[in-house]
Order: sequence, then structure tokens, then C-alpha cells
Amino acid sequence: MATKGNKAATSLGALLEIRGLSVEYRRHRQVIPAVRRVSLTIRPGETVGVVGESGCGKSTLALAVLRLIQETEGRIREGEIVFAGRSLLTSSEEELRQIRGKEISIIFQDPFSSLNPVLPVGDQVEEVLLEHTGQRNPHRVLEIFAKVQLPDPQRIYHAYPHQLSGGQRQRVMIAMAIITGPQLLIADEPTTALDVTIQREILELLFGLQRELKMAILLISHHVGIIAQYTQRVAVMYAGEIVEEGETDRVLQNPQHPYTRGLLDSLPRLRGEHLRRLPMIPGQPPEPLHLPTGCPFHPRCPVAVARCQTDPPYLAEVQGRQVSCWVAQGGEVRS
Amino acid sequence: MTTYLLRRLLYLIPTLWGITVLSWGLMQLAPGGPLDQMVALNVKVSPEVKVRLTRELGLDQPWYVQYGRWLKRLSRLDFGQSFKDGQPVLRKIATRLPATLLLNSLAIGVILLVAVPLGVYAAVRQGGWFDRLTTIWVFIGYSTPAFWLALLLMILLGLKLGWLPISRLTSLGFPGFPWWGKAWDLLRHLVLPVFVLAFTGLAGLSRYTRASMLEVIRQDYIRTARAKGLRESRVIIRHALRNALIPILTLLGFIVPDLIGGSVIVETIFAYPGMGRLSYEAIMTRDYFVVMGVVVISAFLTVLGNLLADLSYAYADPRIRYR
Repeated sequence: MATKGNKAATSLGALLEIRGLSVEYRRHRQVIPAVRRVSLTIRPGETVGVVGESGCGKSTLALAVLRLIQETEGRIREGEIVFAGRSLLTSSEEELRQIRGKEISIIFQDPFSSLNPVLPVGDQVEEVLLEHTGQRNPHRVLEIFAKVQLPDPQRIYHAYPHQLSGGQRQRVMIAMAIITGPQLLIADEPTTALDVTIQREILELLFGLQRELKMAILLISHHVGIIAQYTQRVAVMYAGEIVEEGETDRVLQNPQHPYTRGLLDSLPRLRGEHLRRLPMIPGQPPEPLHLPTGCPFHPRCPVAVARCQTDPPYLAEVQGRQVSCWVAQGGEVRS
Repeated sequence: MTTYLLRRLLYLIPTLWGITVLSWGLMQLAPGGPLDQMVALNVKVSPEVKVRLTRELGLDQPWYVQYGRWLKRLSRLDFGQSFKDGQPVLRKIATRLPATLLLNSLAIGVILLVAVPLGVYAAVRQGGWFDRLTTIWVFIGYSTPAFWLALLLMILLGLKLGWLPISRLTSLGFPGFPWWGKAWDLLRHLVLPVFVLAFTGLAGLSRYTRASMLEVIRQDYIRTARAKGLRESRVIIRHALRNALIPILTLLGFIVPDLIGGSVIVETIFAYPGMGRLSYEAIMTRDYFVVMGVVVISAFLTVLGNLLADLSYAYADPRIRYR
């Protein structure tokens, strides 16, 4: 599959490796940095989470991996994305097309707007097969519909998106994503638009399928609880940067970056102390056009020191994970 | 669906009735009457004869009485006779309608075949040189008066170069031509009027297609289609265009009457034997019954076009089901 000039090396055992990726959007002749120097590695079969507030760049990261950012909207400014030994940034449009939907699939947040309203859903799923294998195969579609636990696959096959419930639509999206047996599935807020009662079902289905199909999942969510339960490693994003990254248990049980700590503190706890006012992180995330100097988090940071206002921090190992914070990194603060 | 259709058809009755009342009233407000030309051009008709004719034809009655009489005859599908030559109005229309339908369906066909691809391509390459060029070109087409363009083309292609005939639908020896000669002759006569109608009608539809495509291309399901690894041509045609055409169907309902109205000017300039010139002549000579016949039939075709547009809308968009 990999042809001229896009062969690239990944670190040992990595399926997807993102290195120093920066993405910017253009709007009204202004350049808006959305993702800044992000590096992330996913190994085969692994689940990696990306967590952060809306607008922190996590969805942009997902779109950039599939090279789905349209030229009219923005561009990848720098960095490298290597998938299974191929550089996605130097791949031709035709090579990318062979990867999209076949080796890397994506599930979007809103299953209603993500399905074409004028085509039957069975047709939309079958289209993936048609494009990547050259033939129609309705039986395979019905099989996949059964696998994602859609009731009455025959009826759903001919249904239009508006005739399905939100949960059913997301199951159709999952069916569409896994029908080719991809190595990597990107799930961009897969349950955010759904009722709370259905969220769990969809997640259980997704991760059950992961075990069966042995695919890696990049799970993007603003929901720390979901990240904690389903991912092995996590990257915490703030203002387009990764501020803390490491094994999920380690990061969430003993957060080192003040932003990660703030995210965790603002979660309600069901045991122990009742009726406490949830602490919030004061202020708003910075606008990408007016990023503060130094550490982007310093205006909201409870432990910021003088240096945070001037010097941008970088990721360095602290207690077995990567943290981008002068205070957490210790020593430098006093010097 | 059947009840919806029945209801829509019932609604047509008051609409058509309203149109006839308004047209009748407007026509009566215009100075002069059907007899004026006859009298003015004929010295033998004395004022006494005119008064007698006026009474005999019922033209001395108030407008609502005349209208009532006309409506009563219409209810028996009797459209009356022309004041000019005594021919039944329906026959006059029947001889003219095919030519108009031919001209307009050709023009609509050309407009659709050119405007939709133009709009799609401009939208896909938004801001590119093709998009800019069509923007300018479409602006020119939109603001060019049909009669002016028609005259220029007649002078250039018809008189200076002598390539195309400049008037009527057929040449003098037409009845004696073999079938292919007839077809060729018709085609040559149709080129200019179809071109003028299409050129001035293109602009709106191509802009509309472009806007509709731009709107659709930003939708999430287009991103999904790309994420599935579909070819861009498939994304644009199967996923984007199919959705973008839905609002355009409604626009087609408005284009049909537009072309009937527009063809009054074009048909008159090209001396084209269609409904447009018939109504122009009838209005000029105050040939009341002919005018009303044309109004009723045009109005009927127009509302029918709108109904068909609405129905195809429901057919194209599965989210809409009329009750």
C-alpha cells in the first residue's frame, strides 16, 4: 500500500505516532492556532484518551489525523503523523482515501447531523464496502447491524436517519466505522449528544467491539469519568497543547498539572462528603487569538509563579508521566 | 397523501378565481375597449354603429356584470370568441401553445443543464478563478435586458453574418420540406430565442445552486462521507448535490411562470408564434376574451407548476411527508 516517498518510521510498536503537530484555522484573514506542537502515540489495540474543555483542540486533532481539515478552513502547519509506517502528511489524496474508512475510521459527536438525511442508512453503510472492496454486500451490512445490536436490521437497512432514535443512529455510525475492520477507531465525543441512559450502552458496545476486533481507539471526550473508565493512557489538552500525558490511572489519581487537578476537583463525588459546593476553575479558557504569554494556563492557575507569565513551559517527566508545568517540574521555580 | 393532494387541488380554485377577478378588473381599468381599434381604422363604422355594437356585445354593462357573464360561460369551458376575428379563444390558444411549450421547455432544459453544473463547480472551487469568472459572467447575464441582447444577436448573427433566421418559427417553404429539413429549420429558428431566454435566466439558478451547495458542503454528513474514504466526485454528486438540489426544486416552480412572462418580450421581438405574442397582441387590441383565456391558462399552468414542485420536494426529501 505504501508507495513512493511516504514510508516513515514510527517508534517501536506504535500504530499511530503524532509528532509536534500544529494546526491552524483561517477565518476572516486571521490565523487561529487550534493545535500546538502536540505529540501522541497509540499502540495497536490500545485505548488512548484525549480530555479537555470544548475548544481546546481535541476535535481538530482527530480531524487532522484523517487529513479532513479542508483547505478553505485551515491547514496543518507543522509536524508529522505516521500511521503503520506511512507518513499521512506526505500521502496523496488517493492514498489517504484508501486509509480513511478502511484502516482508520471515525465516529462523530452528533449522529443525526453526521448521517446523510436523504439516503437510507443501510445504503450509507454499504457505500463504505463498495468504495473499499468494489462490491455491494447487503448481507454483510445486516450482519454488522446485528453486531452493533440494532433491532430488526432488515427494517433499519431501509430506514432514513430521521426515523431512528439517537442511540440507533450512533449504532449505525459505529457499524459504518467498523465494517471494514479498521486498525484505529477515532471516537470524537461518541456519547455527548445522547441521553445519559444510552451513553453507557453505546460505550459498552464500542469497547466490546474493540476487544473482539483488536483495534486501537482514540477516545476524545470532555468527560473525565468516561476517560478514567475506558482508557489506558490519557492526554490532557488545554488551549491546543497537551499539558499532561501518561497512564490514565497515574494521571487521574495523582494529577501533577494544576489544570488536570482543577478538572478532577470539579467532578461531583458520590461517596464521602455530601453537599459540598463544587470548586471551579476560575475564568475562561483563553481565546486562541489572544493566548497569554508564557504558560497558557497561568491566568487561571492557583499556583502560578512569576516565571509562568513569561516562559512557555514544555513537557518533561514528573512522577512517571509528562507534565508541562514549571511548578510541577519543581527545581526551576526557585532558580 | 391523497387527502393532501385533494386539499391542494381545492386550494387552486380560490387562487385561480382571484387571479381572474384581478385581471378582469385591471383590463377594464385600462383605457379603450375592444371596439376602438375597429372603429378608428374603419371609416365606414359610424358612431351610431359603434353604440349599437357596444350594446349588442354587452360592453355597456358594468364590469362585474360582464365578468359574471364571462365566468358563467367559462364554467361550461366556453372561453368565448376573439373580438378581432371571431375565432374561438381556445382554438387560438391551441394553435399557439405548442410553440411556447417547445421554446420554454428547451430554455428550461438548457438552463438546468448549464446552471446546475456551473453552480456546483463554482461552489466546490469557491474563491477560485472559475468561481470569480462565473460570478462576473452571471452578473452580466442577470443584468442584461432580454430585448437588448435579442436585438444585438439579431443584428450580428442574423443580419451581418446571415447565419441564423431572425424571426418566426419556420421558413417560408416549410410545409414542403422533408422531415429532416423541417427539424433543421425548426432548430435554426429556435437557437436565438432559446439562447436569449437561457442566458438571462441562467444567472439566478446558478447562483442559487452555488449557495445551496456551499451550505450543504459545510454539513457534518459531508465530512462523514469524506471520512469513509469516498472519492470526492461521489461525495459531491451523491452526498452534496442530492441535498443541495432539494431547495432548487422549489425554485423551479417559480421559474416556469417566469419563463412564460419572459417569453412575451422574447416572442414579440422574434415574431415567434407563441402564447406570449398572442397575449401581447390581445392586450394591445383589448381583445378581452383572448386576454382572459391566456391569463386563465397561464395561471393554471403556473399553480400546477408550483404544486408539482412541492410534490417533487416531498419525493426528494424523505423527511417531508405531507398530510
